[in-house]
Amino acid sequence: MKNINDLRSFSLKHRVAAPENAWMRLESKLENARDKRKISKFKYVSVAAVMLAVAAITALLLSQRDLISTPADSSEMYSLQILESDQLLSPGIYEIDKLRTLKSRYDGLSSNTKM
Amino acid sequence: MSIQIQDIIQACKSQKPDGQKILYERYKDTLYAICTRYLKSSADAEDVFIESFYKILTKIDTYKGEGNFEGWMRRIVVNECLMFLRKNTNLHLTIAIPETDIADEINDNDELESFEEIIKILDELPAGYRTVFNLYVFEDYKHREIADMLGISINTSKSQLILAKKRILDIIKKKESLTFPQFNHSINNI
Repeated sequence: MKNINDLRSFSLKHRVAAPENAWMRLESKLENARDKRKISKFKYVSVAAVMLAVAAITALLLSQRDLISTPADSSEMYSLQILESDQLLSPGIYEIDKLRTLKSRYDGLSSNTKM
Repeated sequence: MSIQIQDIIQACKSQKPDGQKILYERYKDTLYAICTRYLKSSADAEDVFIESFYKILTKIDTYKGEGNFEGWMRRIVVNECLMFLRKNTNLHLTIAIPETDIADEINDNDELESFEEIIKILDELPAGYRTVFNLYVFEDYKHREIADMLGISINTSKSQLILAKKRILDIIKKKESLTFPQFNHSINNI
């Protein structure tokens, strides 16, 4: 006869032969988990690589645009500066041209009415 | 020369298949025995055993070296068995006996049958009795802990244990009357 404390110590020694195929099932489960981990690692690496590539291409495109747009911008600025300086030097030149045009048109109109 | 358990644990933490196999070989029969005590069907016991071992091998990082490693594994197996029972079996853990009766009924020095005999009889008990008996007698959990684990009251846990003991006694009595009618067991004292 045993009391509860004895049964506890017996239970620690209690063994039942595990099924033969249990290790194979466990091993395949572990393999699947390893494969999943590998796939997810690969997924993260590939996503990171794609993001890096996109960033690199964007940076490259931006730097190229800067290279192309810099001389164009400077020429625009240069012409604008010339225009401004022309205007400063001879502010009335455009008005004279306008007046001339108006006068010639007026002359044309008046000759038409005389006829 | 046997390999030290610390080395095996370290190998398992590094997810080395050789280390995992050694750990499995060392503890498979002990842990499978726990599953067979909680679950009647050997197919269920095998499924839970595999799931438990899988959890042990994949969560071994969480074992910080505090306490007994075998005890840590046993707790995982017991928890897996309880989870399986909760999902798939109606434990019928609702019977409660008044507390005054319980105080007289429970005594850890009560004499029970031999271990092997009780293991055989456990298969004949309803899932609820078997579970509480296993947790209290074999795993050394207190009624408060059992109540928390199974989501029942302490009183219900106590009453389940008493009823399990009574059922075991009845089964033994029946067996004795069939084989040795003259033999009188001291389990009658429970």
